[in-house]
Amino acid sequence: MPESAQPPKGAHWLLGLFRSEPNFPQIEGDLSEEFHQHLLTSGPHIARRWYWREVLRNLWVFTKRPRSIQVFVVGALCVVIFRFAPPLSMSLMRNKLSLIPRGLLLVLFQVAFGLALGGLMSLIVKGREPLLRLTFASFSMVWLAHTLGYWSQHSTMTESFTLSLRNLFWPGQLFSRFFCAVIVFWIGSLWMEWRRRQPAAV
Amino acid sequence: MKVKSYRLLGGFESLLLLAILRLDERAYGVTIRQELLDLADKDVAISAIYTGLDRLEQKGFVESQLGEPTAERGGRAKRFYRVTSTGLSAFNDTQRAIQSLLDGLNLIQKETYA
Repeated sequence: MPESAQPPKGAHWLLGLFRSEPNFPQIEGDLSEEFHQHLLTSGPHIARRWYWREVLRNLWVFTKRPRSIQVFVVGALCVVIFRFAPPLSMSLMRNKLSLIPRGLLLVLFQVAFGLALGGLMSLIVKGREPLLRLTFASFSMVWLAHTLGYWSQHSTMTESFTLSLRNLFWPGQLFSRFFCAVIVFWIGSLWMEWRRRQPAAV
Repeated sequence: MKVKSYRLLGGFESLLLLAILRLDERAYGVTIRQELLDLADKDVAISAIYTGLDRLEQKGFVESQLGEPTAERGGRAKRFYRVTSTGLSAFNDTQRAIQSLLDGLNLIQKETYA
């Protein structure tokens, strides 16, 4: 079957983020059926445009449901916890772990928190893990943009143009910390989702 | 005549119920959506229709049954709906309540004032 005779893959993937919604198989089936009706009456271009429009409309309906709002709140909370909890825990336990270099200690705490948060929150939002991962990544990007914006507004001329290593590499450190946070969270979430999908032992 | 308030339907619920009654045995997501579009000029997202139908089913006003999956629907089954006697009573109660409130009101005259 040619690709134009199938619903657009991007729209289909977006719709799949809400797979755990009640009646999702019927909703997906209805959209597919109407897509094929439009394909026969109006051609592939109009059918594909129609499908995109309907998916976006239905996504808007899904996001307003309490189940989805819960996932967005959990995702946003994870970003806040991930931002503050590792440095705070590290400062509380630094005396006991003084032999480990500070930078390495921070990385270890962030990895541990990321994995634990991703796994725990996936357990809470059972069935909506893809949406949670996307929400966490999106809110992390917002936090990154806010931090970069704040830094660029509040750094002095001296700090901006000095050739100190910290100023050259700080944005790079920020980006790498952002990507590591998202990857670690996703690993924790994917692992918990995989565990949940395993058939129960007899 | 006093009407039991829990039986009263909202506007959209009434439209859904009427669409199901009109469609008889053919009432499922696509046909209900098409009926609302053709006759009530109401273009509703399919997920909003199922939200309304779930509410009606929880109240016992409609009941549903899964049909056979089809290739056109990507192997997904249709869910057919029918109105229960409780749902029909609720709809009639809603119409009586609306009629009671309309009695004595001269809405045509009010439109002239606007």
